[in-house]
Amino acid sequence: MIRLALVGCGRNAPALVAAVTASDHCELSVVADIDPQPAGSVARAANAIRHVGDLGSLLASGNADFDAVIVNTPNDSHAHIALTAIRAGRHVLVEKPLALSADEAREVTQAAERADVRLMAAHTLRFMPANVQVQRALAAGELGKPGMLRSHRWLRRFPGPPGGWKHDPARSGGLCLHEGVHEIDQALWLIDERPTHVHALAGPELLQIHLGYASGAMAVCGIATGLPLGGGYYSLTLIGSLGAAYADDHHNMHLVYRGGRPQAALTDLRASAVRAQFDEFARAIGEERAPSVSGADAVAALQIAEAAAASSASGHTAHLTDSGYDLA
Amino acid sequence: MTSPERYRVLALSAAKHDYVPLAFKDHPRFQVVGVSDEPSAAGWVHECNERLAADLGVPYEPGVDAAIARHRPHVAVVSSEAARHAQLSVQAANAGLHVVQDKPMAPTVADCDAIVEAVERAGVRFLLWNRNTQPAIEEARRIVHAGEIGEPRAIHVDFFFCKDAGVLLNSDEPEEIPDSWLSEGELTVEGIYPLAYMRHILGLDALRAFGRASAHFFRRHAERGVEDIATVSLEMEQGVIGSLCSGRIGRPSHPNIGELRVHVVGSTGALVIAEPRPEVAVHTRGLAPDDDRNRRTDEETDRRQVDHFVTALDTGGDTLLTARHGRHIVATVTAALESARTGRSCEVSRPS
Repeated sequence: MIRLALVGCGRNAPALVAAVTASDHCELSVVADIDPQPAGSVARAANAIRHVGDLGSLLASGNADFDAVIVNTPNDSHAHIALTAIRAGRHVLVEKPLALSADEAREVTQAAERADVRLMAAHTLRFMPANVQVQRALAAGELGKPGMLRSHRWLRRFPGPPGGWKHDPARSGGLCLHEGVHEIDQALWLIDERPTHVHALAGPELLQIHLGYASGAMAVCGIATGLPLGGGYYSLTLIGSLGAAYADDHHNMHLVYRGGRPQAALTDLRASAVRAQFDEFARAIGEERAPSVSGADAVAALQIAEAAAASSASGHTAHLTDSGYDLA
Repeated sequence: MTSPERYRVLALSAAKHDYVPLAFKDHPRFQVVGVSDEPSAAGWVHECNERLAADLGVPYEPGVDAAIARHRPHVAVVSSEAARHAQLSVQAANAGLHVVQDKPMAPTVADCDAIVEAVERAGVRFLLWNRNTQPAIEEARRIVHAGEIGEPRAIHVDFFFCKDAGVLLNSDEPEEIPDSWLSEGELTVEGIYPLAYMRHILGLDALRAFGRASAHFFRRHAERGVEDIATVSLEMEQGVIGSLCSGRIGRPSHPNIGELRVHVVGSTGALVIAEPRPEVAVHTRGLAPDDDRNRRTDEETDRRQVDHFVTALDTGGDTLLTARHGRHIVATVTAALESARTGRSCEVSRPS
């Protein structure tokens, strides 16, 4: 059993705790947050484990009885906390984005390599049950060569006051880095080719990323973060040369009949994905191998996310180069 | 002026499809009086026209001006090869006929401008055939226009056909489908449908386009340098972000005829339409792999479109997709394909 320290007890911490609790491969030893109220609340929910103020004091306390750190803090602190954990010889799973820039992410990745610890970026879409099936079909050659990827993900409006860190691009990295890296990583994973063109359009609580590839493949990804009610919506289509895969909430909607109109009962696919992600992280540690989502994967996604941000800000298309991008 | 009890319809060529003229066959407000075409049309086109005339129970009379003089039609239905759309539509408009025309509107924006100029000068109605009368599309339009999801912010349409178009890339098999069926790219031909959905649902036009296009499946598309799949990003009026994925994706790629999907994100909500078009799936023992697995119910959609058209004729109002709308769709496709060639987003040209 891999023992975990959860650093950061914000809004999604209860979901992470639930996923770890459900895992057969890892367990939570301690939680940390600079705010004692959410830290205490999350610690109580996790079978009354102890809670501390921050990772540094935990490591200095001599009571650091954990193998790995889950970095679940605001985006602008990811790299610093990951480096702190790595330097202390701990494996690290970092919420996306791994850092606020590709350069910073590369620094974290190189530090993990030098320290010989496992580093994984939480690109959770790779663990969505439907996406796993699509990728398996691709890997088995059933779909042939990928030609077109289309995905849409709609989220509820960011909670909290307008002054929260997610509303501050300097702290979140903006929508391209905060959410867009999910879709970019998904495209890199499924199409398995670095794009040549990135064209992004942004609107209020909206992001569209369009990727072009030298092979002729293409990808369009849409993200909306302003849905007022309910859960999210996720939909993906992958067109290959021999077939196609369609993964989406709409077609898989379960209906509940209780008189009157049938009601939709959506399953929480994210919970399954987060648990699978923790399982993969823990198994990689136990088996002393690289996790399936590496630091290099996170660097690659961030490079493209930076190009997407530049494209949406300028209105121009970003042409990717070996070292970065040019705006055309 | 009093509307006639029945509008007389002259079908001008049925080279590519016959569904447009056939939609008028049994409508109580229309009477198809003949089929005509230019005598100089290709031999295979005359054969198609003769078959249509037989299906309609009317004569086939080459010589468009003479047929118009003889039958004094109110409406011309143009379903020729795309390259002759502008010529026949302008000819019909100049003769004072209302025009219903198959897609694509024309190969070039200049051809579309000629049609717009002719129909507006003649004061006749023009309908570019479309699929906007599908119930789900109509309902999406109603929801958006009623403000049920707030101000529209983004729209996406998937529009895929799963029919094959000749042999696959890297195959040595001979082509069996005639050249005349495979002369244009899929976004060029089919792009009208998703773009017309956007226009119909939001009432907004595209201003700039970024596109990617490739011949991913079919050998002849690759040989001709035309696309079978394409993705387009659109900067639209009122700051709306649009996108579409479209193409001919090969027979094994969908259990039905293809995928239709519409997403609209508004300021207070969002809507999803996902359906394989209005069809009935029929599965029976012994079904051959290449049998159609679905029976299309397009006749109802087409009937509603013709109903709308007759209202436009009676009242002098706009059709569901006017010449100007059609021209803008062709301009949008042109910008997207130019973008795919250059790697840069392109402005959608407006009429001068």
